[in-house]
Amino acid sequence: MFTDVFFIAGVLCYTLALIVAWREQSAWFTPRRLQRALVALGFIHQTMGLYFRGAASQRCPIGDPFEMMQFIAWSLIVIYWLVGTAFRSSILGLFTAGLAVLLSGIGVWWGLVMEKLPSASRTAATYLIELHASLAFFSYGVFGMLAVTSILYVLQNWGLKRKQWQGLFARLPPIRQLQAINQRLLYVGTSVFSVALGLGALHWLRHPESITLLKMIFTLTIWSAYLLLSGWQLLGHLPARRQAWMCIVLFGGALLALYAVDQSRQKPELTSLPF
Amino acid sequence: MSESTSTLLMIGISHHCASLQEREKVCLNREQTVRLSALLRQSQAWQEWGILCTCNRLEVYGIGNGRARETLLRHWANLCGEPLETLDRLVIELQAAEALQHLFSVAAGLDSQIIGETEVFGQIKDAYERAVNDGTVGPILHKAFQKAFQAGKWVRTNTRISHGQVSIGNIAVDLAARIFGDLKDCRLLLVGGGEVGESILKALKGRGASHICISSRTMERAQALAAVHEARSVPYTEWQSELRRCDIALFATSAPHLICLRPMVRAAMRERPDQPLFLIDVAVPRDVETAVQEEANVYLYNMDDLSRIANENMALRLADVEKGKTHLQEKADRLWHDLQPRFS
Repeated sequence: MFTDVFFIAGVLCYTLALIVAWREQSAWFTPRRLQRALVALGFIHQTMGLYFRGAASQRCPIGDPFEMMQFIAWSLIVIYWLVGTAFRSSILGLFTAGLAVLLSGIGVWWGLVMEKLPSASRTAATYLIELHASLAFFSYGVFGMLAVTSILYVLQNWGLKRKQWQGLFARLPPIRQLQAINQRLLYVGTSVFSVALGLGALHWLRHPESITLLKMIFTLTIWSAYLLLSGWQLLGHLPARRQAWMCIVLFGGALLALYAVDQSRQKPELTSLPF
Repeated sequence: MSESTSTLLMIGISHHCASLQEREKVCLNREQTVRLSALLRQSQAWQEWGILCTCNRLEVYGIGNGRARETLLRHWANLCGEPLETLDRLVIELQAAEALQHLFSVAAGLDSQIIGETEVFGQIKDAYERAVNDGTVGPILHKAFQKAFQAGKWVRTNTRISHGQVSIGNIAVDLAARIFGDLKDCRLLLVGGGEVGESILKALKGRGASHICISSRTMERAQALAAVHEARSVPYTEWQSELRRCDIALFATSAPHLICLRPMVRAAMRERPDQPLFLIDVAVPRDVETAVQEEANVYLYNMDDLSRIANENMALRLADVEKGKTHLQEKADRLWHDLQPRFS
């Protein structure tokens, strides 16, 4: 499909952005604008790919693992544009580009190398599901950014404790800033995910057969974990370092849980889309 | 060089060729340098000149003939009240490309006592602007100074000579910035009244830390410091309760034993688990128990840590000095090649 070109171009742009951001950490030239331009270019390509794919299949382009990963990576970049301006350092760009390469690269590999799936046609019942699914994947983008900022926190904390100040450690954002942004991303991600699941629950109440037990367990587990983390944080009982590690692990778990989502999609009698 | 021929000159004194006591005897204040410039204007020996006067050097850059040195030293000796022979012994004279390279090195901070320091760049710019306002800068010196500014910027951007901080105070500020970012809302506690502690306090205050609390064994000392730094003072028995409210705690007492122990810090952190605490211990013997740094969200740096950072940053700077000097020599040679025809 011609849209594949956009996704491949998107991955390449993110990869170049990652290389440029990496070079900036190790050399004295600061092509921050070039890095941002490459991220923007990758984002545009991804948006075009998702748009054309959605237009061709007459639905939100989150119908298979390939599209899911692209959508999550796309959401991650949206969050990057919103959050990234708060950081003077380009380190966030480096790690975000890295995660975007990973997610969109896996998506491209899955979609183009492993399999391609037929598009599902639109039915009236899928509007709710589409909203549910797109919000859920967007929250994955938020959780992805949370994982990135948590990694930055862990690195900065480790560097300060171990008295490391050269190289990467000198360019990491301040601890307090990372703590604040982690809290906000956690609350936002959990809220968006909760709304998404609420919408999905409305559909499930009418069509209980549309969701497998496996998917239910995985989804509720991930949601509960983030909810618990948010509550713990709200009560002020969660040390920042522990929160950071849990956010990193949870995001990894959430990505693995997409397997359960994909399993649910495999049932041909279903008209519902993932989530 | 005869009276009829001129060249580019640098004649002056710096910390490289004279001790502090010697420089103190021959230094000139602002009024005296203005007077010196007026005297040079009356002589025929100097066509263009600019005077750089800092705490470590007094150097005259300009275009002069064979009598330039004698004229300068005579007036200088009269102004500072020292014998001409003393000045003649202490000053160094450089000509042509060497003078240019020296100017470039000074602008780049390669000739400073602390390699890579940036203050001298501003001082050279001030000296140049004063000379321009006085009308003592001509086309040759104008070009020399402009190239010096460019060369200085190149070295600072493309080498590590300005990399990192090398003063204890600035290192503490950098570390605080890594933890808190903007320091203007940071609450600072100083326990003790040592000089090093006060210098770090000044550095932190200079970067915006404004909510300062000072405690000392001697209440009068704490109050005196508080008056100077627009801070509040608390009795020595109450500094522990301040620990739970502050962001940065600076320990600089002369206590022979530890005064800040892990249980104290743990108790303080229980009341503010989300807020990082930065402890700077510059006391010798140490004031803060090392185990404190095991507490979550607590970062402890003592004198050894700060000194190690300073030394390693200085080593990085020194490692790039030769690279900087090589580049400046090429620049100076190229500029002299362009300027030389104007002297023949």
